[in-house]
Amino acid sequence: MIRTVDEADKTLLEGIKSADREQVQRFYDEYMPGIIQFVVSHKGTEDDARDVFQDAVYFLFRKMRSGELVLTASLRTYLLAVCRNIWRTRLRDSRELRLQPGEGESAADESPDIDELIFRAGRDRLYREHFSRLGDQCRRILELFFAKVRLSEIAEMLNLTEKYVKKRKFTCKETLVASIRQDPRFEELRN
Amino acid sequence: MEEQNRQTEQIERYLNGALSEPERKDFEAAVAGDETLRREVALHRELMETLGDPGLAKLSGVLTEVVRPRAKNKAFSRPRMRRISRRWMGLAATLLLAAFAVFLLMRKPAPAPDSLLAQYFEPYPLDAFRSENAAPVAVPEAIEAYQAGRYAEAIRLFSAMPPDALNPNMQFYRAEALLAGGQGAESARILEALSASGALPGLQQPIEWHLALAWIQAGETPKAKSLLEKIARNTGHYKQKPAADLLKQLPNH
Repeated sequence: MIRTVDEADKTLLEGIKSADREQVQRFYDEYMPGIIQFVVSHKGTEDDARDVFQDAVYFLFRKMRSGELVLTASLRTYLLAVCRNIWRTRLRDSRELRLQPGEGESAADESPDIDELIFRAGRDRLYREHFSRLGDQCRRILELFFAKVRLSEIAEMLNLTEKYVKKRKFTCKETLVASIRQDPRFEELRN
Repeated sequence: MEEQNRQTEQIERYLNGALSEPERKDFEAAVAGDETLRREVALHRELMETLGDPGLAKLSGVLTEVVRPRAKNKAFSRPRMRRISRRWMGLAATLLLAAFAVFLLMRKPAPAPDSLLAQYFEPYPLDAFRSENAAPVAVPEAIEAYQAGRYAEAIRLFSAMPPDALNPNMQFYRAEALLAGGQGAESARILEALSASGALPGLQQPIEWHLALAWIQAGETPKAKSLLEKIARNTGHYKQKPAADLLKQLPNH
Protein backbone atom coordinates (compact mmCIF):
# COMPACT_ATOMS: atom_id res chain seq x y z
CA MET A 1 0.00 0.00 0.00
CA ILE A 2 1.28 3.46 -0.90
CA ARG A 3 0.01 6.57 0.92
CA THR A 4 1.22 10.00 -0.12
CA VAL A 5 0.34 13.63 0.49
CA ASP A 6 0.29 14.32 -3.24
CA GLU A 7 -1.47 12.12 -5.81
CA ALA A 8 1.27 12.79 -8.41
CA ASP A 9 3.86 11.35 -6.00
CA LYS A 10 1.78 8.18 -5.73
CA THR A 11 1.71 7.80 -9.52
CA LEU A 12 5.50 8.08 -9.65
CA LEU A 13 5.96 5.54 -6.87
CA GLU A 14 3.55 3.09 -8.50
CA GLY A 15 5.55 3.56 -11.69
CA ILE A 16 8.71 2.51 -9.85
CA LYS A 17 6.97 -0.47 -8.30
CA SER A 18 5.86 -1.71 -11.71
CA ALA A 19 9.16 -0.64 -13.39
CA ASP A 20 7.24 1.59 -15.79
CA ARG A 21 9.80 3.15 -18.15
CA GLU A 22 7.92 6.43 -18.59
CA GLN A 23 7.33 7.02 -14.87
CA VAL A 24 10.92 6.13 -13.93
CA GLN A 25 12.11 8.60 -16.56
CA ARG A 26 9.80 11.30 -15.10
CA PHE A 27 11.07 10.49 -11.60
CA TYR A 28 14.66 10.81 -12.84
CA ASP A 29 14.03 14.09 -14.68
CA GLU A 30 12.25 15.62 -11.73
CA TYR A 31 14.51 14.59 -8.87
CA MET A 32 17.96 13.91 -10.30
CA PRO A 33 19.10 17.57 -10.38
CA GLY A 34 18.36 17.88 -6.64
CA ILE A 35 20.25 14.68 -5.87
CA ILE A 36 23.25 15.81 -7.93
CA GLN A 37 23.24 19.16 -6.14
CA PHE A 38 23.15 17.44 -2.76
CA VAL A 39 25.84 14.83 -3.47
CA VAL A 40 28.17 17.23 -5.28
CA SER A 41 27.92 19.72 -2.42
CA HIS A 42 28.86 16.91 -0.01
CA LYS A 43 32.15 15.73 -1.50
CA GLY A 44 30.64 13.58 -4.23
CA THR A 45 30.59 13.58 -8.01
CA GLU A 46 27.78 13.40 -10.53
CA ASP A 47 28.57 9.73 -11.04
CA ASP A 48 28.21 9.21 -7.28
CA ALA A 49 24.86 10.96 -7.51
CA ARG A 50 23.72 8.58 -10.25
CA ASP A 51 24.66 5.63 -8.05
CA VAL A 52 22.78 7.18 -5.13
CA PHE A 53 19.76 7.72 -7.38
CA GLN A 54 19.75 4.07 -8.45
CA ASP A 55 20.13 2.88 -4.86
CA ALA A 56 17.24 5.14 -3.87
CA VAL A 57 15.06 3.60 -6.59
CA TYR A 58 15.93 0.06 -5.46
CA PHE A 59 15.27 1.17 -1.87
CA LEU A 60 11.81 2.51 -2.75
CA PHE A 61 11.07 -0.66 -4.73
CA ARG A 62 11.99 -2.89 -1.80
CA LYS A 63 10.19 -0.64 0.69
CA MET A 64 6.98 -0.86 -1.34
CA ARG A 65 7.42 -4.61 -1.78
CA SER A 66 8.05 -5.26 1.90
CA GLY A 67 4.93 -3.51 3.15
CA GLU A 68 3.37 -0.15 3.07
CA LEU A 69 5.01 3.13 2.20
CA VAL A 70 3.39 6.03 4.02
CA LEU A 71 4.74 9.48 3.24
CA THR A 72 3.81 12.26 5.63
CA ALA A 73 5.84 14.78 3.64
CA SER A 74 6.34 15.28 -0.10
CA LEU A 75 8.16 12.64 -2.09
CA ARG A 76 10.93 15.17 -2.74
CA THR A 77 11.57 15.62 1.00
CA TYR A 78 11.40 11.87 1.66
CA LEU A 79 13.70 11.08 -1.25
CA LEU A 80 16.29 13.60 -0.11
CA ALA A 81 16.25 12.02 3.36
CA VAL A 82 16.75 8.58 1.81
CA CYS A 83 19.57 9.88 -0.41
CA ARG A 84 21.21 11.56 2.55
CA ASN A 85 21.19 8.22 4.37
CA ILE A 86 22.53 6.40 1.33
CA TRP A 87 25.29 8.94 0.85
CA ARG A 88 26.16 8.75 4.56
CA THR A 89 26.69 5.01 4.23
CA ARG A 90 28.97 5.60 1.23
CA LEU A 91 31.19 8.09 3.02
CA ARG A 92 33.77 6.30 5.05
CA ASP A 93 33.50 8.87 7.80
CA SER A 94 29.92 10.03 8.23
CA ARG A 95 31.15 13.06 10.16
CA GLU A 96 32.11 14.42 6.75
CA LEU A 97 28.42 14.79 6.03
CA ARG A 98 27.53 18.14 7.55
CA LEU A 99 23.96 19.00 6.72
CA GLN A 100 22.42 22.42 6.34
CA PRO A 101 19.06 23.04 8.07
CA GLY A 102 16.22 21.52 6.05
CA GLU A 103 18.36 19.05 4.13
CA GLY A 104 16.04 16.15 4.69
CA GLU A 105 16.53 15.50 8.41
CA SER A 106 12.89 16.20 9.28
CA ALA A 107 11.50 13.58 6.93
CA ALA A 108 14.01 10.86 7.77
CA ASP A 109 12.45 7.41 7.74
CA GLU A 110 12.38 6.15 11.29
CA SER A 111 11.56 2.52 10.42
CA PRO A 112 13.82 0.04 12.20
CA ASP A 113 14.73 -1.60 8.91
CA ILE A 114 15.87 1.57 7.16
CA ASP A 115 19.61 0.91 7.37
CA GLU A 116 19.27 -2.71 6.30
CA LEU A 117 17.11 -1.67 3.33
CA ILE A 118 19.64 0.97 2.31
CA PHE A 119 22.52 -1.50 2.40
CA ARG A 120 20.39 -4.06 0.62
CA ALA A 121 19.55 -1.57 -2.15
CA GLY A 122 23.27 -0.96 -2.62
CA ARG A 123 23.90 -4.69 -2.83
CA ASP A 124 21.06 -5.07 -5.35
CA ARG A 125 22.82 -2.61 -7.63
CA LEU A 126 26.20 -4.25 -7.05
CA TYR A 127 24.89 -7.75 -7.83
CA ARG A 128 23.13 -6.60 -10.99
CA GLU A 129 26.20 -4.66 -12.11
CA HIS A 130 28.45 -7.74 -11.85
CA PHE A 131 25.77 -9.97 -13.34
CA SER A 132 25.54 -7.70 -16.40
CA ARG A 133 29.28 -8.24 -17.03
CA LEU A 134 28.87 -11.99 -17.56
CA GLY A 135 28.58 -13.44 -21.04
CA ASP A 136 25.16 -13.88 -22.67
CA GLN A 137 24.94 -17.62 -22.09
CA CYS A 138 26.00 -17.32 -18.45
CA ARG A 139 23.38 -14.64 -17.82
CA ARG A 140 20.64 -16.67 -19.48
CA ILE A 141 21.46 -19.87 -17.56
CA LEU A 142 21.73 -18.08 -14.20
CA GLU A 143 18.60 -16.01 -14.78
CA LEU A 144 16.60 -19.19 -15.32
CA PHE A 145 18.36 -21.00 -12.48
CA PHE A 146 17.69 -18.18 -10.00
CA ALA A 147 14.07 -18.14 -11.15
CA LYS A 148 14.01 -21.78 -9.95
CA VAL A 149 13.68 -23.34 -13.39
CA ARG A 150 14.94 -26.95 -13.29
CA LEU A 151 18.30 -27.65 -14.96
CA SER A 152 16.66 -30.20 -17.28
CA GLU A 153 14.20 -27.53 -18.44
CA ILE A 154 16.97 -24.95 -18.89
CA ALA A 155 18.85 -27.49 -21.00
CA GLU A 156 15.78 -28.05 -23.14
CA MET A 157 15.08 -24.32 -23.52
CA LEU A 158 18.66 -23.54 -24.54
CA ASN A 159 19.18 -26.66 -26.62
CA LEU A 160 22.04 -27.90 -24.41
CA THR A 161 22.59 -31.06 -22.41
CA GLU A 162 21.65 -31.08 -18.73
CA LYS A 163 25.19 -32.11 -17.82
CA TYR A 164 26.61 -29.13 -19.67
CA VAL A 165 24.10 -26.73 -18.09
CA LYS A 166 24.96 -28.04 -14.62
CA LYS A 167 28.68 -27.53 -15.17
CA ARG A 168 28.19 -24.15 -16.82
CA LYS A 169 25.84 -22.95 -14.10
CA PHE A 170 28.47 -23.76 -11.51
CA THR A 171 31.27 -21.99 -13.42
CA CYS A 172 29.14 -18.94 -14.15
CA LYS A 173 28.00 -18.63 -10.56
CA GLU A 174 31.54 -19.02 -9.24
CA THR A 175 32.72 -16.29 -11.64
CA LEU A 176 29.90 -14.04 -10.46
CA VAL A 177 30.55 -14.68 -6.76
CA ALA A 178 34.32 -14.16 -7.17
CA SER A 179 33.82 -10.94 -9.06
CA ILE A 180 31.41 -9.61 -6.39
CA ARG A 181 33.79 -10.58 -3.59
CA GLN A 182 36.70 -8.80 -5.26
CA ASP A 183 34.72 -5.57 -5.42
CA PRO A 184 35.67 -3.44 -2.38
CA ARG A 185 32.13 -2.07 -2.27
CA PHE A 186 30.87 -5.53 -1.28
CA GLU A 187 32.48 -5.34 2.18
CA GLU A 188 31.39 -1.72 2.59
CA LEU A 189 27.79 -2.68 1.86
CA ARG A 190 27.59 -5.33 4.56
CA ASN A 191 26.09 -3.75 7.63
CA MET B 1 37.18 -27.34 -6.63
CA GLU B 2 35.23 -30.57 -6.00
CA GLU B 3 34.75 -29.57 -2.35
CA GLN B 4 33.59 -26.09 -3.32
CA ASN B 5 31.24 -27.57 -5.91
CA ARG B 6 29.74 -29.83 -3.25
CA GLN B 7 29.31 -26.97 -0.79
CA THR B 8 27.64 -24.73 -3.37
CA GLU B 9 25.33 -27.57 -4.32
CA GLN B 10 24.38 -28.13 -0.70
CA ILE B 11 23.71 -24.43 -0.14
CA GLU B 12 21.50 -24.35 -3.24
CA ARG B 13 19.60 -27.45 -2.15
CA TYR B 14 19.12 -25.87 1.29
CA LEU B 15 17.85 -22.60 -0.19
CA ASN B 16 15.53 -24.46 -2.54
CA GLY B 17 14.14 -26.54 0.34
CA ALA B 18 15.46 -29.71 -1.26
CA LEU B 19 17.29 -31.11 1.78
CA SER B 20 15.68 -33.85 3.84
CA GLU B 21 14.74 -32.96 7.42
CA PRO B 22 17.88 -34.54 8.99
CA GLU B 23 20.09 -33.00 6.28
CA ARG B 24 18.51 -29.59 6.88
CA LYS B 25 19.08 -29.83 10.64
CA ASP B 26 22.72 -30.86 10.14
CA PHE B 27 23.26 -28.05 7.67
CA GLU B 28 21.70 -25.43 9.94
CA ALA B 29 23.87 -26.63 12.83
CA ALA B 30 26.94 -26.29 10.60
CA VAL B 31 25.88 -22.79 9.56
CA ALA B 32 25.32 -21.76 13.17
CA GLY B 33 28.86 -22.72 14.07
CA ASP B 34 30.65 -21.36 11.03
CA GLU B 35 30.65 -17.63 10.27
CA THR B 36 32.21 -18.10 6.81
CA LEU B 37 29.52 -20.59 5.84
CA ARG B 38 26.83 -18.30 7.21
CA ARG B 39 28.08 -15.46 5.00
CA GLU B 40 28.28 -17.79 2.02
CA VAL B 41 24.67 -18.87 2.50
CA ALA B 42 23.59 -15.24 2.90
CA LEU B 43 25.30 -14.25 -0.35
CA HIS B 44 23.74 -17.13 -2.30
CA ARG B 45 20.33 -16.33 -0.84
CA GLU B 46 20.61 -12.66 -1.82
CA LEU B 47 21.81 -13.50 -5.32
CA MET B 48 18.82 -15.77 -5.73
CA GLU B 49 16.45 -13.08 -4.45
CA THR B 50 17.92 -10.23 -6.49
CA LEU B 51 18.70 -11.98 -9.75
CA GLY B 52 15.66 -14.28 -9.71
CA ASP B 53 13.19 -11.46 -9.16
CA PRO B 54 11.58 -10.54 -12.50
CA GLY B 55 10.35 -7.21 -11.08
CA LEU B 56 13.87 -6.18 -10.05
CA ALA B 57 15.27 -7.39 -13.35
CA LYS B 58 12.80 -5.21 -15.23
CA LEU B 59 13.53 -2.22 -12.98
CA SER B 60 17.26 -2.71 -13.48
CA GLY B 61 16.80 -2.73 -17.26
CA VAL B 62 14.74 0.47 -17.10
CA LEU B 63 17.33 2.15 -14.87
CA THR B 64 20.09 1.21 -17.29
CA GLU B 65 18.19 2.91 -20.09
CA VAL B 66 17.17 5.96 -18.07
CA VAL B 67 20.36 6.71 -16.16
CA ARG B 68 23.22 5.78 -18.49
CA PRO B 69 22.44 7.92 -21.54
CA ARG B 70 22.18 10.96 -19.31
CA ALA B 71 25.57 10.17 -17.81
CA LYS B 72 27.05 10.73 -21.25
CA ASN B 73 25.39 13.98 -22.27
CA LYS B 74 25.85 15.65 -18.87
CA ALA B 75 22.53 17.44 -19.33
CA PHE B 76 22.34 18.33 -15.67
CA SER B 77 25.76 20.00 -15.63
CA ARG B 78 25.00 22.87 -17.98
CA PRO B 79 23.69 25.51 -15.56
CA ARG B 80 26.83 25.17 -13.44
CA MET B 81 29.09 25.39 -16.47
CA ARG B 82 27.67 28.79 -17.44
CA ARG B 83 28.84 30.26 -14.14
CA ILE B 84 32.45 29.30 -14.71
CA SER B 85 34.62 32.22 -15.82
CA ARG B 86 37.50 32.05 -18.29
CA ARG B 87 40.04 32.39 -15.51
CA TRP B 88 38.61 29.38 -13.76
CA MET B 89 38.45 27.52 -17.04
CA GLY B 90 42.17 28.16 -17.48
CA LEU B 91 42.88 26.91 -13.98
CA ALA B 92 40.67 23.89 -14.60
CA ALA B 93 42.55 23.15 -17.83
CA THR B 94 45.86 23.26 -15.96
CA LEU B 95 44.51 20.97 -13.26
CA LEU B 96 43.12 18.66 -15.91
CA LEU B 97 46.53 18.41 -17.55
CA ALA B 98 48.12 17.70 -14.19
CA ALA B 99 45.45 15.11 -13.42
CA PHE B 100 46.02 13.50 -16.82
CA ALA B 101 49.75 13.32 -16.13
CA VAL B 102 49.02 11.67 -12.77
CA PHE B 103 46.57 9.35 -14.49
CA LEU B 104 49.23 8.30 -16.99
CA LEU B 105 51.59 7.54 -14.15
CA MET B 106 49.10 5.79 -11.90
CA ARG B 107 46.58 4.27 -14.27
CA LYS B 108 45.29 0.85 -13.44
CA PRO B 109 46.98 -2.02 -15.22
CA ALA B 110 44.99 -3.54 -18.08
CA PRO B 111 42.77 -6.44 -16.99
CA ALA B 112 44.46 -9.84 -17.05
CA PRO B 113 43.61 -12.06 -20.05
CA ASP B 114 41.91 -14.57 -17.73
CA SER B 115 39.54 -11.98 -16.36
CA LEU B 116 38.70 -10.78 -19.90
CA LEU B 117 38.12 -14.36 -21.00
CA ALA B 118 35.79 -14.96 -18.04
CA GLN B 119 33.81 -11.94 -19.16
CA TYR B 120 33.68 -12.57 -22.88
CA PHE B 121 34.37 -16.21 -23.63
CA GLU B 122 31.64 -18.78 -23.80
CA PRO B 123 32.39 -22.19 -25.27
CA TYR B 124 30.43 -22.44 -28.50
CA PRO B 125 27.35 -24.65 -28.14
CA LEU B 126 27.23 -27.88 -30.05
CA ASP B 127 24.46 -26.91 -32.47
CA ALA B 128 27.02 -26.52 -35.23
CA PHE B 129 28.56 -29.94 -34.75
CA ARG B 130 27.84 -32.43 -37.45
CA SER B 131 30.00 -35.30 -38.48
CA GLU B 132 29.68 -35.82 -42.18
CA ASN B 133 31.72 -39.01 -42.28
CA ALA B 134 31.66 -42.02 -40.06
CA ALA B 135 33.26 -40.67 -36.92
CA PRO B 136 36.23 -42.39 -35.27
CA VAL B 137 35.42 -43.97 -31.93
CA ALA B 138 37.19 -41.31 -29.87
CA VAL B 139 35.22 -38.40 -31.35
CA PRO B 140 31.95 -38.80 -29.50
CA GLU B 141 33.91 -39.05 -26.26
CA ALA B 142 35.84 -35.89 -27.03
CA ILE B 143 32.63 -34.09 -27.92
CA GLU B 144 30.90 -35.53 -24.86
CA ALA B 145 33.74 -34.29 -22.65
CA TYR B 146 33.59 -30.86 -24.33
CA GLN B 147 29.83 -30.66 -23.87
CA ALA B 148 30.12 -31.58 -20.20
CA GLY B 149 32.75 -28.89 -19.70
CA ARG B 150 35.58 -31.40 -19.07
CA TYR B 151 37.95 -29.45 -21.29
CA ALA B 152 41.22 -31.06 -20.20
CA GLU B 153 39.80 -34.47 -21.04
CA ALA B 154 38.37 -33.18 -24.34
CA ILE B 155 41.79 -31.76 -25.30
CA ARG B 156 43.44 -35.09 -24.48
CA LEU B 157 40.91 -37.06 -26.54
CA PHE B 158 41.15 -34.70 -29.51
CA SER B 159 44.94 -34.80 -29.37
CA ALA B 160 44.95 -38.60 -29.34
CA MET B 161 43.37 -38.63 -32.79
CA PRO B 162 45.38 -38.49 -36.01
CA PRO B 163 45.10 -34.95 -37.44
CA ASP B 164 43.53 -36.15 -40.69
CA ALA B 165 40.71 -37.79 -38.73
CA LEU B 166 39.46 -34.42 -37.51
CA ASN B 167 37.07 -32.69 -39.89
CA PRO B 168 36.81 -28.86 -39.76
CA ASN B 169 33.85 -28.96 -37.35
CA MET B 170 35.81 -31.07 -34.90
CA GLN B 171 38.87 -28.86 -35.37
CA PHE B 172 36.67 -25.94 -34.37
CA TYR B 173 35.55 -27.65 -31.16
CA ARG B 174 39.09 -28.75 -30.45
CA ALA B 175 40.12 -25.10 -30.64
CA GLU B 176 37.24 -24.20 -28.34
CA ALA B 177 38.32 -26.82 -25.80
CA LEU B 178 41.89 -25.49 -25.96
CA LEU B 179 40.69 -21.94 -25.39
CA ALA B 180 38.51 -23.05 -22.48
CA GLY B 181 41.48 -25.00 -21.12
CA GLY B 182 43.75 -21.95 -21.19
CA GLN B 183 45.82 -22.95 -24.27
CA GLY B 184 45.18 -19.81 -26.29
CA ALA B 185 48.21 -20.04 -28.59
CA GLU B 186 47.33 -23.52 -29.87
CA SER B 187 43.66 -22.59 -30.15
CA ALA B 188 44.59 -19.48 -32.17
CA ARG B 189 46.72 -21.55 -34.54
CA ILE B 190 43.76 -23.83 -35.36
CA LEU B 191 41.21 -21.03 -35.60
CA GLU B 192 43.49 -18.97 -37.84
CA ALA B 193 43.85 -21.93 -40.20
CA LEU B 194 40.08 -22.51 -40.19
CA SER B 195 39.40 -18.85 -40.88
CA ALA B 196 41.87 -18.75 -43.77
CA SER B 197 40.54 -21.96 -45.31
CA GLY B 198 36.90 -20.82 -45.24
CA ALA B 199 35.98 -24.46 -44.61
CA LEU B 200 33.16 -23.51 -42.23
CA PRO B 201 31.35 -20.57 -43.84
CA GLY B 202 28.45 -20.81 -41.36
CA LEU B 203 30.86 -20.47 -38.44
CA GLN B 204 33.06 -17.72 -39.86
CA GLN B 205 31.87 -15.10 -37.35
CA PRO B 206 32.28 -17.30 -34.23
CA ILE B 207 35.70 -18.34 -35.56
CA GLU B 208 36.77 -14.68 -35.87
CA TRP B 209 35.46 -13.76 -32.43
CA HIS B 210 37.09 -16.73 -30.71
CA LEU B 211 40.32 -16.20 -32.63
CA ALA B 212 40.50 -12.68 -31.18
CA LEU B 213 39.92 -14.12 -27.69
CA ALA B 214 42.54 -16.82 -28.24
CA TRP B 215 45.06 -14.16 -29.26
CA ILE B 216 44.28 -12.22 -26.09
CA GLN B 217 44.87 -15.35 -24.03
CA ALA B 218 48.11 -16.00 -25.90
CA GLY B 219 49.32 -12.45 -25.23
CA GLU B 220 49.09 -11.48 -28.91
CA THR B 221 47.25 -8.25 -28.13
CA PRO B 222 48.03 -6.30 -31.35
CA LYS B 223 46.65 -9.14 -33.49
CA ALA B 224 43.58 -9.40 -31.25
CA LYS B 225 43.00 -5.65 -31.44
CA SER B 226 43.24 -5.56 -35.19
CA LEU B 227 40.69 -8.38 -35.55
CA LEU B 228 38.38 -6.87 -32.90
CA GLU B 229 38.45 -3.55 -34.74
CA LYS B 230 37.35 -5.37 -37.89
CA ILE B 231 34.50 -7.09 -35.98
CA ALA B 232 33.46 -3.84 -34.29
CA ARG B 233 33.22 -2.12 -37.68
CA ASN B 234 31.00 -4.88 -39.09
CA THR B 235 27.42 -3.88 -38.25
CA GLY B 236 26.22 -7.34 -39.26
CA HIS B 237 28.59 -9.21 -36.94
CA TYR B 238 26.87 -10.99 -34.05
CA LYS B 239 29.64 -9.85 -31.69
CA GLN B 240 29.96 -6.26 -32.89
CA LYS B 241 29.09 -4.67 -29.53
CA PRO B 242 31.10 -7.05 -27.31
CA ALA B 243 34.07 -6.51 -29.64
CA ALA B 244 33.78 -2.74 -29.25
CA ASP B 245 33.45 -3.12 -25.45
CA LEU B 246 36.41 -5.48 -25.27
CA LEU B 247 38.58 -3.13 -27.33
CA LYS B 248 38.13 -0.45 -24.69
CA GLN B 249 39.56 -2.78 -22.05
CA LEU B 250 42.71 -3.66 -23.95
CA PRO B 251 45.92 -1.72 -23.35
CA ASN B 252 46.83 0.95 -25.92
CA HIS B 253 50.35 -0.19 -26.47
